[in-house]
Amino acid sequence: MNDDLYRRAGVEDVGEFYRTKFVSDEVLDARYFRALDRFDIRFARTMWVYDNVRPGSRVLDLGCGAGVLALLKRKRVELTGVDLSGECALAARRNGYDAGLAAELSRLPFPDQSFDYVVSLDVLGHIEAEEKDAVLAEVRRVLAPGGVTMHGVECTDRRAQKSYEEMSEEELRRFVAIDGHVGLEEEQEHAARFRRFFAHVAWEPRYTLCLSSEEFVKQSDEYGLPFERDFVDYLRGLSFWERRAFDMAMGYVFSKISDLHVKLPKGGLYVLVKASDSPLGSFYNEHRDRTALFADAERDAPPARCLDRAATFDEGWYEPNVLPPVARWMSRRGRVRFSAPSLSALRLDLTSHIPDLEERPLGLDISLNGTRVCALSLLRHGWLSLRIDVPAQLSTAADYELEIRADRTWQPRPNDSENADDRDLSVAVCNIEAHAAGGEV
Amino acid sequence: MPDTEVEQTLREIRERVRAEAALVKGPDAAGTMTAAAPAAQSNGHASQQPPPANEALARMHANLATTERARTRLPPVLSYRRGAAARFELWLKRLIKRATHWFTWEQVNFNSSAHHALADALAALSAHEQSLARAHAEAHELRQALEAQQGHQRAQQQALEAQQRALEAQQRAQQVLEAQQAQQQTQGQSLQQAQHALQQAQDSLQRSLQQHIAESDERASELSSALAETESRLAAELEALARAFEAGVAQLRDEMAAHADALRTEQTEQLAARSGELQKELRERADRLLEEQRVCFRQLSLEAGEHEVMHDRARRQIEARIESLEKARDS
Repeated sequence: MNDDLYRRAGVEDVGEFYRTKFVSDEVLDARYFRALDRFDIRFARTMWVYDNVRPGSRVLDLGCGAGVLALLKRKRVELTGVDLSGECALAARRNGYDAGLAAELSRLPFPDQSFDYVVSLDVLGHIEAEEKDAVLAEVRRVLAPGGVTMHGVECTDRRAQKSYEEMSEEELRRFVAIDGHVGLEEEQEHAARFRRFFAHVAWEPRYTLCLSSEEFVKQSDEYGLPFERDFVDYLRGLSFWERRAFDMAMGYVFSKISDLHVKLPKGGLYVLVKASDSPLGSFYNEHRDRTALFADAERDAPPARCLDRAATFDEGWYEPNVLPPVARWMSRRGRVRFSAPSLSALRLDLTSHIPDLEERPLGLDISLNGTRVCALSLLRHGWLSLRIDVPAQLSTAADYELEIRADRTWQPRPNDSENADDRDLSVAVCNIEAHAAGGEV
Repeated sequence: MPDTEVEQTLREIRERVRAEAALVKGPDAAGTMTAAAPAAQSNGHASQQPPPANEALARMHANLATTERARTRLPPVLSYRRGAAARFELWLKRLIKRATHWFTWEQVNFNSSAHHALADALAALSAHEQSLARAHAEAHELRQALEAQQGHQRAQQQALEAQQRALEAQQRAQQVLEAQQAQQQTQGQSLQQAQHALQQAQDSLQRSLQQHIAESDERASELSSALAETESRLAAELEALARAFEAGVAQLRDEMAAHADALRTEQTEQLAARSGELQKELRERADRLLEEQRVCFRQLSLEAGEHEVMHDRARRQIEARIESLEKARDS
């Protein structure tokens, strides 16, 4: 790998750099995906790929990171990830990829014509210009006849941003340290590069209008984009749920722009590229079929013993995290809805990270269909295994709503200045099991 | 071609305007204008005043550029009308063009002659202007040389005046020296008297010194006997001190051993306490890890169970499908 710019920027171990930047405890496993999240701007690029991939096809994710394309498993594709960092490949595997390999993108460890789709998101901007042609040549080699390659690529605007040659050592170091971008080019330069390898190339500048709240602040603070100062300050002050609402609204507009084929002007931020040697279909929604996103877990899944992936979690729960194990944090109140023909007992594991638990125990109140079935105080850290017997009058209700209430919450950020997590947390819960009368469901 | 000509014309106009502006702003031009001002005021027609030589030459240059470009240029045969009227006008103009060819040719010749004559005049005037400039420069150099010579003479005069002042000062210094010489003679006599008195004092001092040396010898013998006595007494005291020191060291060694034992006991107790705390912490951490492990294993077990059920369901679906296919084949 040609990593001169990385070296100039003081990055010695590129794999380690990406591991620390892009591997988190976020759970991207398709089984944990909520249909409503298709509007979240964080999944906008994933949804673009999702709607352009044929069900059951073979997909290669170049630079898979922690596995941002794991959602494609809902379409029953054969999903392979390759990344420079072994830990990223492992994280992708944990998130449901069929295979995760560590390799250089300019020397892919696959035979010719192995994949129907080769996809990358936020990768080509991290590859130096001199090496990109080698990567695209490899993409072309592993694509099957008629295969399509799709890429989401970070861009630059040379009118507003210095080129790498113009940057001083300190400026380059600061710039690369933000995200590791060493191969930013303008939109049309990317398109021209793809045209050298593929007969048919289509591209659309995106993210000109719609950015996540976090990205607005980052682009303003770290890249110096001239957004309105008071707007950025407003975004900076939003709470977790307010940021989520903003991101959902932005993602909704993003998806409508795609659906209506609205042409956006060049923005110098991001471009979506689709290329193939065969004539291309529609740029958006070529194979749109979102039924798998709404699959009724109760109906399609096996008779669920564990409700973690089968039940419906309301807005009182946050997205799952790898603690380990995979668990969901709850705010002050969380509800879980599920169906079961009969129910004799519920079992779950829960923990809390509230620092002063021994001085001030956390009070928990658990109800099932509005009837209180358990109340306890959590006195210590660590995992508590809880079994709750279901009263006889509730055992045949068929539809259930389990509600957990906590008497207080805690934010990690105020106690740790380097922690950006400002969620209100009480307990993390996992392994929720429903036991049927006379045995497990 | 017309575009380049228009561009060239505009460039010439710009150069001419710049030349005029430079002439108006320049110091020479200012001087000329100042000298010419009374004449202009006397007749009250400033705009009709003859232009300065530089300005006139610049304008002549600009005009000659125009005549150079336009002397052979004939008006184009064109019409602003349309249709039959335009065709008629153009026919008429072409006819007139042939008829007046002798006349326009003569005009071109005349223009050419006039242009060359003016160019010659411009060259002559330029040469004249250069000779004038040289004369100006020579006159300027001559004036500077005269001024330098005048300055040199002034400096020589000042040097002569300074020499005169130095001579007067030397005369005054000689008078002072003579007065000092007389004073030194009187001082010499008094010095001889003082030298004599000093000689007498030296003799008396030498005598008293010899007396003191004799007394000192006696005192030294007394001191040497006292020193021997003190040395013997000090040796006895040192021996007693050494014995006391050894006794103190032995006592300190005992105390140190006692302290070391106490410290060792204290450290052992602290280590035991710390070890207990660490063991407790390790046990707690191990318990937490075991709990975490239990939950993780539980999760894995549940996932494996799910997979198993899924697998079993898929297997049964495939078997049912195969069975139905076999039935279909048999039937």
